[in-house]
Amino acid sequence: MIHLLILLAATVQGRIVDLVREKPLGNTTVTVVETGATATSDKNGNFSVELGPGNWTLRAGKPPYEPIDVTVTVAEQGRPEPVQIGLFDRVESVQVFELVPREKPSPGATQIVREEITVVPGSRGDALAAVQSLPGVAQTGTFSLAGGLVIRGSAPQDSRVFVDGIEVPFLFHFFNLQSIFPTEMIDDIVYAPGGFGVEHGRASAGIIEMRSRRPKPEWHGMAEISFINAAAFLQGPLLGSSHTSKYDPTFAVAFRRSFMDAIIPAILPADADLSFTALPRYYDYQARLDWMVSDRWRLGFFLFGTDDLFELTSGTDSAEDPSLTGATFRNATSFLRAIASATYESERVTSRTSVTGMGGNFIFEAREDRYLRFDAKGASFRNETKVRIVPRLSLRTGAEAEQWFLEGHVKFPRPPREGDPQNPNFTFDPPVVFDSNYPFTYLGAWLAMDIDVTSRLTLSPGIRYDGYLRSYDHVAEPRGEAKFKLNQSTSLRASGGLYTRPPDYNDEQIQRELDPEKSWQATVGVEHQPWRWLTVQTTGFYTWRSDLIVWDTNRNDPSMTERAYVNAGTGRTYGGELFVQGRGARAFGWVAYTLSRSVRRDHPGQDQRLFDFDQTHNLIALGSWTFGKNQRWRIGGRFQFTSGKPYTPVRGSVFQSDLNYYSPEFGAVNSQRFAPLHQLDLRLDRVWKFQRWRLSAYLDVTNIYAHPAPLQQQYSYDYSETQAINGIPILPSIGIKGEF
Amino acid sequence: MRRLLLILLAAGCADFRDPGDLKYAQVLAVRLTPAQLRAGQRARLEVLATDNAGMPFEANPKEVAFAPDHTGKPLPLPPEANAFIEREGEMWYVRAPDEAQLDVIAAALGLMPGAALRVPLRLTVAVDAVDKRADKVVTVLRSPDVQPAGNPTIKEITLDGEPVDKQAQVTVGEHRLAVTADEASGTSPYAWYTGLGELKHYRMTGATLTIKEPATGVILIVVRNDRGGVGWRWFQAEAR
Repeated sequence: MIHLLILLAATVQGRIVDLVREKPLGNTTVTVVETGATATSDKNGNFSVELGPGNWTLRAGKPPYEPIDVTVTVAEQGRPEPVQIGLFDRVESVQVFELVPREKPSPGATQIVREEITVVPGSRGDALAAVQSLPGVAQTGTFSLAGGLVIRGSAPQDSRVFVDGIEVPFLFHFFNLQSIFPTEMIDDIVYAPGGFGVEHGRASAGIIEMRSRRPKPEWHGMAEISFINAAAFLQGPLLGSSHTSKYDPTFAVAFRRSFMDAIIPAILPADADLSFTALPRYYDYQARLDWMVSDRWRLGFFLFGTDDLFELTSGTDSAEDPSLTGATFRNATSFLRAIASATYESERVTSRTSVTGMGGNFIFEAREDRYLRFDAKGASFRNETKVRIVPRLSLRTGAEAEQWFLEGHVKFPRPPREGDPQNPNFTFDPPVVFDSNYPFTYLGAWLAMDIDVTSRLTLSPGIRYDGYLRSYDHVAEPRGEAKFKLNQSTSLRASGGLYTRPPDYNDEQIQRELDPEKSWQATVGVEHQPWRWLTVQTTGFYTWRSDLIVWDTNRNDPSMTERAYVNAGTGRTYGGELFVQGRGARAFGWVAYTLSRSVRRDHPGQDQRLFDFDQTHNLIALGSWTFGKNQRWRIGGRFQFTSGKPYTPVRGSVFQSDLNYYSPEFGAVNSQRFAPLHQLDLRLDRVWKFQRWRLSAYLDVTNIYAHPAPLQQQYSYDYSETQAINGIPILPSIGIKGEF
Repeated sequence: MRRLLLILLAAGCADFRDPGDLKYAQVLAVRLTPAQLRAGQRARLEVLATDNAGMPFEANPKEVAFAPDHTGKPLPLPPEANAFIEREGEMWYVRAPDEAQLDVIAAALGLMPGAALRVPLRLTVAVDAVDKRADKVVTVLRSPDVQPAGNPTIKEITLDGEPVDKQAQVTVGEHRLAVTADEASGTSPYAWYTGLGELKHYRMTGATLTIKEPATGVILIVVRNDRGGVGWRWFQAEAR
């Protein structure tokens, strides 16, 4: 956006342009933030200001353009370089994106920014829904059963999502319709489906790093009402409008509340046999304070949390699980995290230290004597530091510690498990009974080097230590990466190493003797940027998994209430990804194609089978384009085609006469597939500009031609009849947003 | 847990045959008399089934064999268990081995001293010319301190509060059914069936029957306890 041009004397000269229309902007004020001195551009957009030696911030802007800050350095000798300042028209600013590139943590990684996330068709402006349009993420269907992201043939619990380096305990509000973190509070997301560096642990598949929005000193507010929820956002200078220098503290706050408790009674059929005692509702909230204490030190405080609740009574008879007839289900989930951080940045050293306080609870009750009740409190510490030792050698190092205190009360059937076609049964499964207060401790430390072997080749060997003290495990994980710059527009990257996930998913934590699951990953990628607006990435990957936690026998084993799981599973995933991404002033879009195969072997000697969410083909093509007078309209579309989900056929059933239920006889696990899925999502945006604010509206329709997406087979009580459970056939979402 | 919740919410949304529908061929219950055995005792196996016309009948199994365990493999039974299943003409019996043989079998299965022997049997029953399979667990008590369980006795069935014996006449509309039985226990002790109309709460002690048009048919109740005991009774009903 900013181009440095010609050298002049102590008078700094510059030019202001409208970046969208590519024309000069006259009569635009430029303010030297540190002194308050001002200058005005002429009809050709030119301006000049007198500045002494040092670093200066020039702020340019006039309505309806977004103000922008530009840093100018005036040396004691020599002439300062003139600046070109590009402004985006605020009316169109929802449609044009500024990409501040972040170092991608691995080959095949991708960065998407807030402005793109909000208009990705079919995502309803939701950040993690937008991530599901990236290569390597399996399509699990809107309103899916996966409960997380299935990345490169791995289970959802194998990947982790971080906000500013701190893990988020779960990703979605109930029904998986909305992620817990509003897009308005995100600057960008970096998605690494595998092969990432030593800075992150406890994930044996991929990671998603969300960077929370760093508030600016200008006042900016937003209120939005959509089909799903209402949201509000406000940022500005903490000490008021007269404190807008970069050293003054800034704040941002956001709040969201769902509308489902108002909508569900209206759309629920009268004969649905469901009565809600507490209608589904969620809210989430975020607050962030930033204070740039000096040019080198920045302090931050970030707080975020959620609260979900619903309760319903089923009047439906259930022959296959008769104790659920008339049962009341209750789900209450909440968590709160507060992160205080200090960041130091100099030419040689970058270091960020954060301490976090965490709390939360999870309650799931189905009838009076089947319950999961967890209450958790914890604290964590994390430091990551990068030091440039010599020009060609940098060190990356850090450490983290996380301490949880959990109080758990459990009387519940074993939860569903990957590769197990049989669902839990509240009547006939012997419940796991567990009442305990127990600590959970994670430790982590890492060290890596970035060695510029030549001007083209960089090697980054590293090692990470993870301590999973709950299960008495200590793991050393070697990882490394090589980057080779073929020419100005093409680079090659290869990375690999060992990644582990602790045995802390669902009821695994009850069995302390379980080991972490391991995956050895290898990733090779080529990135080519033939033009500034076009990037082509191709990536190949191979993952070998071992010590996968699987049933010792199966859920019908009477002894499984004591010792259900063993580290006996192995698996592998391999494939390739193609990602072609275009970004222009008026449009953006991408084509993402993933070809992969993911298989598991539950015990040595058993047959290999497909992973539950194996997806051979996954093609996504999306685009978004602004048009009309002043580009006040935006239209976007997204098409996805994926292979059908594997499932396990039922060959027959046997009547269990003492208990009056039918036990299924399954065929080979995941030996059949549903029909391929395809869907088209469309989105239309319109912006209206007013004197001091603007109004925008959108219509986002997911699966516009209502193609059914089968997620799972459902059977009659004796397994003689079958029917697929489909995802939501069509989901229209409308929203109105006001901003100033 | 969210996957589990969605599965629960999805359950019951499909348009499947009603589990209380008597009008299709199925095995409804398997009874052993007496319900539990001691060493050397013999008990008869009987099956309650219904055909596609909704007419229940008591039958003998076509075949009886040991059922596989929870992993699908045969139970590791020693030769002492070979005489466990007996056939006399059309009728099938279970004969518990003597105490010495029982100890050998219990040792082979890794049972604690005095622990009851639980042997799963798989029965094949011909219903409307189709073979149906049902499992029945036979319990052989080894501890003298544990009293054998009996089969539940159905004392009374009421229709709209009035006791019913063999036949009843009702009108089209909604009716209340209830049962009183000795020794009913466990997670799902009651099972109502009929071909006369639609049943609601067919796995509870009191069910609701909705009859939409004049018809004749059978209303049947099966009662179980949590120690393998089972009893049943039915009556003819005419809806006008």
